[in-house]
Amino acid sequence: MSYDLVEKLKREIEGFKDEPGFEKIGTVVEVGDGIAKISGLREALSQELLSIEAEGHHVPAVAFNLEENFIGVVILGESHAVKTGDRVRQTGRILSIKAGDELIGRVVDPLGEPLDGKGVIFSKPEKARDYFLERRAPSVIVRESVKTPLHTGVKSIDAMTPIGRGQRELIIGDRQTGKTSIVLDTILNQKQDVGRPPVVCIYVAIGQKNSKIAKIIKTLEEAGALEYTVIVSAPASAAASLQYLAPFAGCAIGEFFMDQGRDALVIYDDLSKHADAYRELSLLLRRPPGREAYPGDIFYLHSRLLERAAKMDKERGGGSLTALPIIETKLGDVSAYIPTNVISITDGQIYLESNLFYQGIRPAVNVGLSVSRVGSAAQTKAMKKVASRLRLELAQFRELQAFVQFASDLDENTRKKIKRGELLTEVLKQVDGNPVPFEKQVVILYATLQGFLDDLPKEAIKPFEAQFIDYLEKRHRDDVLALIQTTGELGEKAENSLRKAIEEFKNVMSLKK
Amino acid sequence: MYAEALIGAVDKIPGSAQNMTLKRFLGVVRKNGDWSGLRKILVATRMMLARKAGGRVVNLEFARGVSDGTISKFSKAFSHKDHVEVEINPRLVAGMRITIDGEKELDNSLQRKLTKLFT
Repeated sequence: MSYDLVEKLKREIEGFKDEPGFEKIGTVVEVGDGIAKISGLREALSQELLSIEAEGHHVPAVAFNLEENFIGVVILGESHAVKTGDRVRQTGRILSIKAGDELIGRVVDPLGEPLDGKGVIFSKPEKARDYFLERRAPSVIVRESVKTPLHTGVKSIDAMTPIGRGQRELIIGDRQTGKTSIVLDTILNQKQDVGRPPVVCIYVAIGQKNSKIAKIIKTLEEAGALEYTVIVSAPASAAASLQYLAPFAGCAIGEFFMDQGRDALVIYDDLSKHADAYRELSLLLRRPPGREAYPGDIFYLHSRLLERAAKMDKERGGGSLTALPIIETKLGDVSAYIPTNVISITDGQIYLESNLFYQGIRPAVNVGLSVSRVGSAAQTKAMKKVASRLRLELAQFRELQAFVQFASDLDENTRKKIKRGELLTEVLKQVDGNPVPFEKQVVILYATLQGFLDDLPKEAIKPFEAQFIDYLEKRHRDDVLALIQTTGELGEKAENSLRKAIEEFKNVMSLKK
Repeated sequence: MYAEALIGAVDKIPGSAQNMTLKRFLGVVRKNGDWSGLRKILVATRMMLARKAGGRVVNLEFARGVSDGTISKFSKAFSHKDHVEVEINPRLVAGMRITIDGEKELDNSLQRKLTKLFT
């Protein structure tokens, strides 16, 4: 072994060619808080990767501010190793990450280094491709309209605010309202969403607690979802520079899969913390602060990131990149700077409300304030047919909700509407970590909206749902569930079979009683 | 700014009073709380003086002490307008490194060769 190493070294030394010449260099004149000021390197480009020759090793840095006499750089490695007087060299490269199939199932940092202790990522590095962290979003010409659904497994979302592959849908809400649960359910649901091309998921954790990230990894691993998921982690303990780069790294990985003609889903959890990290860097670089002390280009930061989500046309492989950014609001204030920015950039939002959460309505989706601007075009025919009345009935229920306690004094029609609203609210409730496949969503929503459950008390809805789905699985798998799953439609045949199945099941239930 | 002000002030007064001006300048820097940046000020002043004279700041680094003859031989290679400084830097291991205006360098040290070989 040692002989091999010596021989290898000998060969390298023999083949070593050195042609010294004048090189351009810079010098660190100021350093602190992960930021450095460099004199020299007049020809450095914005966003260029620089290499700081710190004692013993090279520390990467990115050129951020190109000023008259100095360059403001963000240090990406061990900033404590950098000191004034250190030399800096240009690399001629833009920041990039190695992307490839071998990333799937791994946890990496925003520079592509493994964090899961499973060893090197690429057994054949030549097969991995360099993807720029900053890349121009696909133009209008190469895009196609969103038309394939991305099922989340969450009934209220798939029925009323459907998401299409290539869409950008914001998930917004206060802390502890179930934002991360929804995206985790979406990842878990991809395993059971057959009938469409599989989706590679990329979960980007920005400024999250390490314990939370570890829990997410464990959940995905136990559910077998890590087999199609990549995790990019920049926890709260990571430098602001890494937190700033994390979503761009996640996006670059997603673009790799999109360019292969595959469907990818990237989740940015969350962009509020990303904006905070960028604000920190900008203030340290002495860029002028604007509203809420965020720099002037904070809108551009998020718009250029989210614009990279796209559905490509057939000539470019037909792949897609769906983005689910998360924004955390403070006390439900959606009119703050970052929430309004991201709301205006995305193609819709899913608004989660603390009040609903504490009332036990989970997922706490406010269906009135949640919208999806392009997703309905991607909704399956079966879901469209079933859920078209759902939004209207819930809206009518909300209007009448104030009168619920006087229900006995109301007319028959109003009482029916209230009852239906209560049943629908109950049906839309589901526990986290248990996404419902779309065909099962279709059948239970059909049963509710067609009035088959009107005679049940709302407490009986959940047991009914579980038993009915079980009954369908056992007795009507092929003529109902599989038919809806494969065709995406609730045709006459499937509808008749479903009606028959519901009646049969209700008879069985009444006999049991 | 300090460098520009210092050069301007020293230019206007005769040589005998220049020491006094320098002392006052250091006092101002200390009073303004910019003492930690003194090294930067001196580097900038040196650079500006050299540029004003139409030359460059040349930094010669040797891995170990060299004879005066060798130093003068190297110094002669540059214009008399250039400001040539000599430094001993053992981190170079062997050989020498020339830096011009802190922006261009010719590195003939063993340290660079070793780094290049093993990275």
